[in-house]
Amino acid sequence: MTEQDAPGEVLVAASGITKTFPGTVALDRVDFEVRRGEIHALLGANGAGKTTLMMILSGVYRPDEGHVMIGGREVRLQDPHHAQQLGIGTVFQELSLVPGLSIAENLLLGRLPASPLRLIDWDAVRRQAAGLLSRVGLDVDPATPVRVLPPAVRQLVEIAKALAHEPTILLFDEPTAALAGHEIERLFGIMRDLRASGLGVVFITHRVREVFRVADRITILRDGRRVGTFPTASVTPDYVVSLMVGHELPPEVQEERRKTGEPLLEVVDLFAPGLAGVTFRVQRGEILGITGMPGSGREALGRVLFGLARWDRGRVALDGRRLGPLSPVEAIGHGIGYIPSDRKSAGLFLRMSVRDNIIVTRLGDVSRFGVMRWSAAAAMAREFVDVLRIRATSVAQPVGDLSGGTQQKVLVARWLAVRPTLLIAEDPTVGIDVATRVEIHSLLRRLAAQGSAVLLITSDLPEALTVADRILVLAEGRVVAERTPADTSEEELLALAAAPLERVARG
Amino acid sequence: MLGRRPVAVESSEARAKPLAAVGLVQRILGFRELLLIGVIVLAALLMSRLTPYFLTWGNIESVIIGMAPTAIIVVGMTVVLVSGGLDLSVGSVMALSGTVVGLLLLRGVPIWLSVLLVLATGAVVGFINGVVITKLRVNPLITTLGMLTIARGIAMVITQGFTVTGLPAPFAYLGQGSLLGVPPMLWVMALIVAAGDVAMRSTRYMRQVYYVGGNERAALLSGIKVDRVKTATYVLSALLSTVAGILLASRLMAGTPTAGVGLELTAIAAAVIGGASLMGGEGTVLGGFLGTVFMSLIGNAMIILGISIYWQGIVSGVILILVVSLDMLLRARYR
Repeated sequence: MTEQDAPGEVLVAASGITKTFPGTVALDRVDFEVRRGEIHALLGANGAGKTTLMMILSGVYRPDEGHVMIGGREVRLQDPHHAQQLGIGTVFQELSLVPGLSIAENLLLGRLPASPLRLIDWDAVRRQAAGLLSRVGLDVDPATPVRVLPPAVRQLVEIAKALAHEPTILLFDEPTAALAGHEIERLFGIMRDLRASGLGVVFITHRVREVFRVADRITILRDGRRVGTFPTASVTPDYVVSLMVGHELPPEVQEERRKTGEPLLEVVDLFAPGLAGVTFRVQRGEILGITGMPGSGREALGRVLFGLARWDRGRVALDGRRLGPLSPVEAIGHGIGYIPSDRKSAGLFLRMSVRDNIIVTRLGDVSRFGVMRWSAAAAMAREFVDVLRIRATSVAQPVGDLSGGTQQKVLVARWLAVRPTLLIAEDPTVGIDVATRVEIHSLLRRLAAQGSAVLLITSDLPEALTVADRILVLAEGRVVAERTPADTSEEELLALAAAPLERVARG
Repeated sequence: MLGRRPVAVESSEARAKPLAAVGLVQRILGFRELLLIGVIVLAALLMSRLTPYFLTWGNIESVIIGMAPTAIIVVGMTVVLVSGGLDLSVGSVMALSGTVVGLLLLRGVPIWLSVLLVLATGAVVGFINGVVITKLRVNPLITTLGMLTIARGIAMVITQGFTVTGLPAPFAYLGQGSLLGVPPMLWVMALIVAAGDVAMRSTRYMRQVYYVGGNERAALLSGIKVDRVKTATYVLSALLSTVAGILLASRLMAGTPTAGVGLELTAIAAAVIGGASLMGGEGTVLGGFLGTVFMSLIGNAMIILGISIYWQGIVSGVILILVVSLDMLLRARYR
């Protein structure tokens, strides 16, 4: 194992950290250190233990064994507030801002400067807030309510909020998950600035490519153990991925082109809120990638076709039959399935079992005369658990206890269970580790190979390029381009999607 | 992370895990019922040591008869809570149906027809709750709070605040007659609780209630007719409140417009003690029933021990908070 002496002194060192949850060893004797002036990536697949380690460093969880040293002294972190006082700042994945309050109030929450009369000194609030915002390169009025900010800006505010406590190390939990390309660049710029100002930056992620662009050192976790810590320059992305998954990944091979059959879905001149005349066709056996900027009509298209939003005019025909206005229940009746991108809020029943989550779309088939046949239900669930290699202790385990990637597989299983003739999958691998991503892609291909069609609505261009047979680029509610993966590239797709925006900007 | 292990087919909500100790604890937590049964048995044993009157058939029968209307209402309340809703109108609907059935009987309407008419009234009340909540998107707390005062108000208006008495003698059969040694109303209660429990565990329709309460949006996207299921829970709750009102009127041979004041809170407490969550998605009818038994037992104990009735509210409040906090603590350890 290669260890390198990074330049700065050790700010935080965790050693021998062990943490167990019922049925799971989340961390097994893990060592981890952060030095002054480095960006240290904490890399692992879903369920590897990254988040647990972060929770321990930020004082949310207490380790069962092992100890944490800050500035050379052993500390027992009591709670997040205590960790903050000791200089550990955290930018959580689930943002902690209060939407109804202004940026300034959020930044200084709990420590608003007060005048001698105990009234809040709003001038000082503004000044201090503006100072913090400038550190993350944000030039907005601190009085703006957080509610109106787009997610990417909220995240910058979140970072500014963490900086308000003058941390010596700053933990970023999957900070790029919700960001678009140029926003990620801006975030990396901020991380580099923080490094330059002497902070230790921890970048928790499963995205290998990003790590190689910004990190100085990489610590890889797998199944709760530390696999190793390396200077970024000394390893290759492929090697890192193989360490993350524990074996060489099967390459994402393009299977031989499927014989695409008769047209399954035909959409002609579809108008709806967000859609301004969309026309396309999908054939049986085909995976059609649909991409575009947020607001391009990408999300609206999926919602309209699944009956979550009405269309104003246009023609939608499935299997040659023209469809009228839909509700989700009717859409499912026509054999349309829908995997929403926000799996926690719109997809899963987190407190219910794996079994209940899988069978929900097929209650009719696991009941007789209205009475549930639990053995049939469990058998159906177990079949999908086996086929999809869903890592759960049993089909009775609550889905909320599973890792993100495993949860996504449960959601995919639910829709595979109905064998939809048309599956609309929206960002099906967002926030999912590489290994699971490959598996979900091959499941989509398998579904298509069985004669269904898949609408893969994705913001992830590499995903569209590896999985789809054809790719439509949407902008301003219209199809602006159609390509096949063979004759296009990520750069071209991005340019096509952004072109109308630039026209407006030049305007 | 442990690998997947094979596990025996479980027949209901059991969240059994193969890991011995943890599995056992979680099974018991999943089955709040077991915990409650234990507590109830303990309380009963303690009481029988303290006073010889407790374990007499007379006392037990009076406890069961006293709690029957509540137990029936708790079935509906549990279903509404599982769906993620709340029904505050149960006590008033019970009072309303008791007075309406009384007035109908006094007008000479046959018993069977009176009962049917009142049940229909109850269904309409529940339907209105459901439609206002699902179609007008009014918060369930507000909607059923409104219905609480409306139903109570109607009961007051139609009786001018007086108790309806002088009901025809045959009507007493349900509450005071005898079928296999006990009043028929107890069989009605037993039937409703048993049917309710089985239905919530194992019928396709009622399973949808768990999905709706667990994650409404996901339920919609999974093809469940969410609005219809929610409306059905309010209709069921109002219907069961109506049944409770009819049985109470028969037992007392009177329709009391002030019956069941505050019953909605007792019912919510019993359902929550029985494992229902105000967040929705969790709860069983059996649990709610045991919660009712437990609270009635405490009430009965205080009466025969000669503790002032005024203490009852304090004690049941403390017990409610204790049980729920204990549950939160135990669960927090396993999160």
